Amino acid sequence: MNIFNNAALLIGIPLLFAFSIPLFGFISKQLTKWVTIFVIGFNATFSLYILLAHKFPSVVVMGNWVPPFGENLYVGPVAVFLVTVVSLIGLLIAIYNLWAIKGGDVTRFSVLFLMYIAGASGIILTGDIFNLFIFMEITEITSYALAAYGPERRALGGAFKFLVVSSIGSTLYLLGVMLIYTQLGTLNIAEIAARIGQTTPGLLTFAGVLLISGLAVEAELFPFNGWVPDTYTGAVNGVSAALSGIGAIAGVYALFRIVMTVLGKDGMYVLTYGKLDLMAVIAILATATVVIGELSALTQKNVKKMLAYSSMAQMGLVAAGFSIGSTLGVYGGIFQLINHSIAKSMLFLIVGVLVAAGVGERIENFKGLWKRSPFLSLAFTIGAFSMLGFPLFAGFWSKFAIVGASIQRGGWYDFIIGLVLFASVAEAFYYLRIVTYIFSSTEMEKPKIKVNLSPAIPIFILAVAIVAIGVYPNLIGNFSMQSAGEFTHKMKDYVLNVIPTITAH
Amino acid sequence: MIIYVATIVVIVIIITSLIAVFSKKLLSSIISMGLVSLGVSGLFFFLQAPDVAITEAAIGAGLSTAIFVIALKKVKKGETKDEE
Amino acid sequence: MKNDTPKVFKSIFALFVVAIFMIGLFYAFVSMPKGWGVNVNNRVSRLYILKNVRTATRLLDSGKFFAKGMKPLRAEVPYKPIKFKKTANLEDGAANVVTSIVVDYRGFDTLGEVTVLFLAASGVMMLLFGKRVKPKRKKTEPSLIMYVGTRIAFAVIFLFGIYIFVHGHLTPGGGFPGGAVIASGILGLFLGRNGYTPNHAGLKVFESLSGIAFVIIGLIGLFSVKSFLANFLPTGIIGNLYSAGFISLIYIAIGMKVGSELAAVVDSMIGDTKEEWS
Repeated sequence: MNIFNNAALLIGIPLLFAFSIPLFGFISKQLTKWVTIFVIGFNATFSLYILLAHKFPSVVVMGNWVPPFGENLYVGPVAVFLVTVVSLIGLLIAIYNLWAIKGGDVTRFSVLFLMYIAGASGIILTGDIFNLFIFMEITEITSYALAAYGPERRALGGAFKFLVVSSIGSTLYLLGVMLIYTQLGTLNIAEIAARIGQTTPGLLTFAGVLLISGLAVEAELFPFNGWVPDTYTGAVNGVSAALSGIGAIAGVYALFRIVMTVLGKDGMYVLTYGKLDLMAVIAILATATVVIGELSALTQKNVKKMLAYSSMAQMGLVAAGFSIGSTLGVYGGIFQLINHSIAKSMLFLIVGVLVAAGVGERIENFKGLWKRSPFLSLAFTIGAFSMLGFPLFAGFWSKFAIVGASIQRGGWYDFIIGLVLFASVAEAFYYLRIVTYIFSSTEMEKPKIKVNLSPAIPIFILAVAIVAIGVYPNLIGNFSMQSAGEFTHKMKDYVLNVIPTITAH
Repeated sequence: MIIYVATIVVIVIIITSLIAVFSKKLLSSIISMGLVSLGVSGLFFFLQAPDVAITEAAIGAGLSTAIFVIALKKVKKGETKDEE
Repeated sequence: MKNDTPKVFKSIFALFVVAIFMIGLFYAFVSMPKGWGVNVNNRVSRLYILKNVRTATRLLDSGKFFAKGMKPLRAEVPYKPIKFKKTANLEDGAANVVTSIVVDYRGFDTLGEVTVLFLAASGVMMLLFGKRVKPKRKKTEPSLIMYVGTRIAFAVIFLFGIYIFVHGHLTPGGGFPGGAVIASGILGLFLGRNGYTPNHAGLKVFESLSGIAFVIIGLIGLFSVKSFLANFLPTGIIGNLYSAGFISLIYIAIGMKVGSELAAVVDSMIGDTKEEWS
């Protein structure tokens, strides 16, 4: 067991500064935003160091109690990679917030935003299902508080909807955890994964259904995603970007960590207990999500609402990729997840800049945008092309990987090819509609839009990242492949790294 | 002996929770919710979990009831009109 | 909002959902093995029965995670009685088992729970943020008895709250209930006098400092014992006030934090504010 306990700082430092931000708030409100940037920057640097210096896999022991007894964080390939992505995107959004967040209680906003990133990192890092529940609570509470921020009335409605749905979801999750605990007497993911065969099958199915329905709220799968459009539309644009870019990563990770590792059997991802194949259930939910999300997005005239429905649909594609179950499928899912976060958070930031400049959220308002701000138009076009999977943009490679995986798997999973194609066609329809609006000319001369440095930096970096991944997909692909291995054929390593002696029986 | 007391407490919990759900007045709902918490706290005590009992009594029966009442006062129309 | 669905359908749907849920739970509990006939070997990792992580870890390392039968394990771990006020240097040292699990073995969860409460309070305060306005004077003044009574009761309640969290490792209770008791005492002060306001800045500073103290205790563990939130103090004799290492320190921090936080929430909810966006 390779112990690298300092990785606990990834949670500890944000907590320390979150508690002290109210003190900084006495000095200056602007300072609190800089503190947020500093702390998230620390997280990004540290996780990037772990990723590039290859300091993983390692187990972080909490409170000096070895894993099955105490709690532990697991710093594996998936965790390091996703935490790096989460904190980098969080850093960029924090830079954007420097300009965007004015008025209201800025100090508390900084606290909540910082803890949103830390909570998402905690979900990804933890190796304990109850601890995962606590970090889920942290991200959910922060996200509905953040979604309610803003001068507009509709923010409150969206936030309230999310509050109700996610409270029910986390209660269901807690009930599932309780059922598993009555069966096995442990909460450690690795130990449950090794001993899941000792449970009563029927009860385990019920617990699995409870866990999936609890986690699907944040992963935005179909029957549990009614909150998505209103919350995303109502929230301030920086918050919408964070919800779609960071919350989605954490939610999808938690869902598939539970389904593939905790409920996986003896280091395999075979999930048939009794008569219910949980992976098939997820595939069905994902299909419904994609179809409903894309069809709803087609009819929207409000760009922000369209982006919300589109991100719902993209989450469906991610889940479909994961549900194929092979390494290639999970690879496609993770790759798609990362591409979606980058592109979608950039699109939300651009909409934020445009709304602040007085352009508006309606699709007609985008007419002739090319004349007014070439930079934003170009960035929006890049994001849209990546979303719909245009070749040589980031999204192409991940959709390609999902299709390849479903061909390789064969059987009834072939329908995922059709699903991806349907999604691409629908996305092409509504994204290209906006792009044509942007490049069409108008008679009226309108003033140019001046973009400040603070929102321009994140938008520029994200756009460059999309093009770079599109030209050289291995930039993300290698890490995604490593991560996919941990979910599928190398899952036994996860258990053995945490509890080396568990196979002695 | 304690089983009879516990049975009475459970019956009180059930009745008060039904009142909390079906009452037309929000204030009586809130107060019966506080009573439910009090009963649950007693039940925890009978089940030999004094730690949880103390927490439930202080937070469930005390503070959250007070916060609900304050929130109800803030929402100007305290009592719901007949729905539909 | 307009609602066209007839009430009957809504009720039937709700009943349907609840019925499915109930059937599932019923099935779950029926299919669970019951009574004393449970084969604990299958249900609980047998190392948990040892009640001592050090021994268990030793056995783990020697590869006996799932040794067959209970007897060899009992033979390997001789029964040593623990005497109140006598036995020293136990693994955890807290007389209250719940506390030792909550703060020591699963301390990271507790840190998370404290954060959840902190964030909930922050969210409430962010939503209710605004310029303080004077409430319209039409409330009835509480009587003199109420005024004097709450102030006397406050002292007693405050002392009791402090007792609960300082003795968290000896008697039932701990940081969360202690803090809640203190906050309910402050709530009494609000009821006793119209227009009572605590010191806002003081509450904020108190809250921040106790939270920082919790994390710093964790970081001291990281740098001295090489593990976040590890117990770095001697555990002492079980049953003494100065025992169980860092548990009482953490509980004092939690108690102060929860107390000031809940008081601040109550304060921000009682006070009238006017929203303003510049």
